[in-house]
Amino acid sequence: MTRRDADLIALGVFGAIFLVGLPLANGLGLVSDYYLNLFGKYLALAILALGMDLVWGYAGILSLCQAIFFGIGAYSIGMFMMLEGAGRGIYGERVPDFMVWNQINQLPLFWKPYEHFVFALASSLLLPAALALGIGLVTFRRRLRGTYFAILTQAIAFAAWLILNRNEMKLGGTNGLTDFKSLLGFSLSDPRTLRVLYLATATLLVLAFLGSRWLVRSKTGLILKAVRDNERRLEFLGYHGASYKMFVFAVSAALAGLAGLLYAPQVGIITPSQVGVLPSLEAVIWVAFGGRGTLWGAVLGAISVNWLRSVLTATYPSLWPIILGGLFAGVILLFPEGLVGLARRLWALASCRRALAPTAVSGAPVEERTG
Amino acid sequence: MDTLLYVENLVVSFDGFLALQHLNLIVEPGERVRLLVGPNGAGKTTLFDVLTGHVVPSAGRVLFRNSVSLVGPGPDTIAGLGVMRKFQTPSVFPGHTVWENMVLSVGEKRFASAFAARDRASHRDAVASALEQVGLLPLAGAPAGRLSHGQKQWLELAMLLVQAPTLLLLDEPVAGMTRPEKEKTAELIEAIVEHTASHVMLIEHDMEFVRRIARRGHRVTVLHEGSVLAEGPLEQVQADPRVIEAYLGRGTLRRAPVSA
Repeated sequence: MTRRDADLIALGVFGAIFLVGLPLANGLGLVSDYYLNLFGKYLALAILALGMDLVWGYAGILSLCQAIFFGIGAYSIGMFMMLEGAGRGIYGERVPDFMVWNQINQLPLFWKPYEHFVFALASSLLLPAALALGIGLVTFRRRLRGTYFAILTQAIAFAAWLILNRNEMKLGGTNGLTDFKSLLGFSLSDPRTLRVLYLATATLLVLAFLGSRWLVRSKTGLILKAVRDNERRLEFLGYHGASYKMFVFAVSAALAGLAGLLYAPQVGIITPSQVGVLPSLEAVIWVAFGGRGTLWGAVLGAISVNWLRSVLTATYPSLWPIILGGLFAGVILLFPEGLVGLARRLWALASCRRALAPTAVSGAPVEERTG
Repeated sequence: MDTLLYVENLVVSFDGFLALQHLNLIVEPGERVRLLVGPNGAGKTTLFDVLTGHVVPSAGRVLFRNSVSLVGPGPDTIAGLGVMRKFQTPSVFPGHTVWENMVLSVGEKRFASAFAARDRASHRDAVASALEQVGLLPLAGAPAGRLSHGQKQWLELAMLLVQAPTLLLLDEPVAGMTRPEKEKTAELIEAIVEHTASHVMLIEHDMEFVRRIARRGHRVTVLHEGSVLAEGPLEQVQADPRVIEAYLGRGTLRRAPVSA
């Protein structure tokens, strides 16, 4: 079995479980609406992880501001839903309720376009990509890279969190946006709406996966990995490395925006706490845990770590940060290639037992391939 | 006069240390091989750094094919002009297979165009024949990181050859190689000269190798302390008393060091 076959079989199994199995079980009453909704959230976060993996796992660019892009997606659709619900709140005003508390009676100008669904969609996908291009323009073109880039993006994430927390931003301050009533006329308290949102999320995750898979297997994918492994050689071959880095950063940002777009209506709230430094770092941990530089690693890492989080925060809420940190340290020390790397190693061991055929290049030192 | 490479009054300063001091060098269009020799710190690699846009000189002119300035454009643009460089330590993509290393080397490099195709038939043939030439075709599917040192050097050479460079800059291509490997590399370079249109500029410390390459009367340029000390056929250069002094008399007859 080649890796290509294994990949497609895995995708089939994944689709069978999350696109067919889970909704079917829900329809039959075996899985509660609550759980379906919870998995809808995980699958949305898996899209964020895919983007993180493209930019970090494949191109080697450690971006610590992915949560901003996620937040732009979530806030964009959140504003649309707030405006759709305006007038139906407890005050019956034409502006969202939180504005009434803050004595804002006139809808701020920048909120106006979010009355339109298409604008909110475009804003959640294109605004993150544009912001990433902007950041890339001032960093990659000036050869800012490695740790410096990571620190800079972390500072940007921190700044975004600080700004969003302020009431003057007219985005709900620390409370964020919540109490969404409906999306395009469909009530969000209706389980059927949430089922449709779940299916949309699962479908878009599969599409995002296929798109990412196509990208990393294309020549551009080869170039991105070359940026990660030896950017100098790449430039002296005639490539403008910065263009490719900006491109993959923008793609990852758009995927993060898409994740936010799908997350907000399913979870029902978006606050600055999901836009700062910590959530950005968490995305790094999901990818590292699942297996950096493998698309499956990103998806499985996001789903498993978030599932673990839900289970553990229900029983030991205060222990979660310690467990998360422990997971990260454990992965780095024990199996740096993550879950997928571990699975591959076990698979290789198993097939080695079956057929003892040497695969090493003759005359060359045999070493484990990393990355 | 027609020139392939025209270097005039080149000055490169690293925090006050003059790596190149008013260096002048001309490579004529008919010249297929130019050897650069000189003691450590003579500025040979720095010259390559300037020619490939890696280092910006503080003064001087570098013209490629009479009119194209190589001062200003970045490494990617200069590579696009056909000036290709092999690094001193082999520089390949270790995580990619040998074949993928080659695929990265052929075809369009600009962002929009590289997006399109991955496997064009013409590229496949070019890659296969370049790998054949350096003897790495049987290892096409192996990760480049697993190759031996010499094999990596040849892979890097094949990566440049497949692009049919106008000017091929080789920085110590036989460093760290075994004797048979050196012999094979010498044959490769001779084949490049014979069968392609590429001009080769070569830095080398290994005098045996230099003699081997220069035996066909190629010119040798001796660099010393950032400028050209002597130039001409190998025998003439080797007999030059200034060259002998530079190589043998270092430390005793050395000029006063440049103040930092």
